[in-house]
Amino acid sequence: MNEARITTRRSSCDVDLHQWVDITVSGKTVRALRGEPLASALMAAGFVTMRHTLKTGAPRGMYCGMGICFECLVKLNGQGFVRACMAKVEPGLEVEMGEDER
Amino acid sequence: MSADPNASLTVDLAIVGGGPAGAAAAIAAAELGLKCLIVERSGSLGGQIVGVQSRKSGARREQDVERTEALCRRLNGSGVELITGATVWNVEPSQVLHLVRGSSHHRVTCHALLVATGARERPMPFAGWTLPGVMTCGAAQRLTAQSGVVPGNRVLVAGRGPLLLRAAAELIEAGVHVVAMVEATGVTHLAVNGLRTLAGSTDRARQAGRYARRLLGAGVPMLFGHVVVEAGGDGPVEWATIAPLDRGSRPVRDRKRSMPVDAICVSNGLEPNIELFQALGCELVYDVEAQAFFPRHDEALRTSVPWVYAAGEVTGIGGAPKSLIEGEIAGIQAALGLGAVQEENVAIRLRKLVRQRRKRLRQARSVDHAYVGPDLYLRIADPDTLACRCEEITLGELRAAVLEGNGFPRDAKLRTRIGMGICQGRMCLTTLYQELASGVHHPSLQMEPIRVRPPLEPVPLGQLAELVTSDSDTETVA
Repeated sequence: MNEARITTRRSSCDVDLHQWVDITVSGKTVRALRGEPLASALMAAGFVTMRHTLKTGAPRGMYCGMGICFECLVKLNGQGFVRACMAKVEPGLEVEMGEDER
Repeated sequence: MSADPNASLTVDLAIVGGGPAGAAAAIAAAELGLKCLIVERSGSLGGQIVGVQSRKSGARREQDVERTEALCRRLNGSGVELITGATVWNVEPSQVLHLVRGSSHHRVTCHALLVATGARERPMPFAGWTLPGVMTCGAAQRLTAQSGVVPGNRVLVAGRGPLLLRAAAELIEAGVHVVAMVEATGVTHLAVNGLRTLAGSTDRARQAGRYARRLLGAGVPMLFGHVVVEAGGDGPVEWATIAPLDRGSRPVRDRKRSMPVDAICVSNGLEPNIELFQALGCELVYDVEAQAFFPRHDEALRTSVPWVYAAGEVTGIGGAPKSLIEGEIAGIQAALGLGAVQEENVAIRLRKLVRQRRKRLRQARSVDHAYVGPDLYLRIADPDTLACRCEEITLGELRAAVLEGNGFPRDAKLRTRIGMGICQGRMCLTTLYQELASGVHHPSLQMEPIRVRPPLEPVPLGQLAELVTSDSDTETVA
């Protein structure tokens, strides 16, 4: 299921990081490139919505991509909330976020 | 040494920001004998201009990107110390910086400090701009450049300013399917005001022509004098509505049209990262034309705090060529200030650099004049549009607070909680300042920016408690 999404959003030819690793996103296994920003891995796998706001429950995703806006906050096991655009993919990473995906 | 909690790194010149300005300053200052350290927030040198570029070997490189990359390569073997992936979370008036890098903490004492923290993309509020899938052009470019991931399969590029066309062209080159480029500035405005810019810089004219041809070649419609008025979707963005602007810069209601999209990449120009200057107590000045606060500085790039210099986008948005010149000036000035070099030995070089800088400043101003101002989207936005994304405060609520208040930013903050969210105001205070500057209450030149407090960037609480100083993660580029 995630394979198809990877091929639709990722054109891996222009990436100089080659090592594929598995991470877990809300219980699902997702293939990602070691060292890439976590936000890229999430977007590639179709997880565009990364959280919901506390006040109104509105969906949010990566906006600035450079650690300024904090919209891409996701929960990493053992590390608490991090900005997905600043966190780097490591094998076995476990990410918890809003149930919304496409 | 790393086990000693009192150990600290001492340098002549600490440089925060490893972009074009920081790299140029390090090389200039190191050549004049200063011991330099660059603290870079991301994992690598080069700044945003390099970070958004594809690393594919055959990818086209603009001259400013190539020059910046060449400079970063020259740092190898220059003896300049480099700490990447580190943020400055606090500063002390005793010229001490506190850095956090992963799980380690650094204390840096410096005799001079150059803040070259660059710029970020300005907020561009419109109905639906908080939906997932709406992102800055820079965010989309970093996705494609760093991971080969496209922001979506049907992408609208919208906004205003000189970066929009470049971003659209580079996204297309990276394989993104762009459905249209929507530039708020009309062709007449661009033609009348842009002619002087192009006459002053044939390079820029050629560059713009190349970008436009790339869009034409890809069959991407370029809609000038148009704006995106709304984005919608159940979850991530699914559609966008665009409209042409009338002569009064208002969207024409009965000529709105909607299109299916799964991503919108926006660009509303840049604003400087000024938070470190604020923490250092540097005086800031609101530039009414640029609609942003900048640190007050002189031609030697000294700020109001004697040991602090400013270079690059933080002194005024002007692109990498201006940043490279300013970095060199600041590096030389720091060496002069610390007595590492005699004035007569660098006077000719400095005079030439200052002349080049003035020329770049004039060019930057005329480029700005070619486009409609950064408040265009703010003026046409619906009152229900969110001004503050963190605290979910609408423009209407903000305007009411500004009207009822005494005109000071702090007053509006206390009334609405704007700027009190997790982004610490980086996504909304510009909007507040623009509203105040356009209002009747307070002459904008007297406007005081809202203060910043440490930590300037989030730091895990455990680390604050430990405050372990370690030099073990410092690496010398060799």
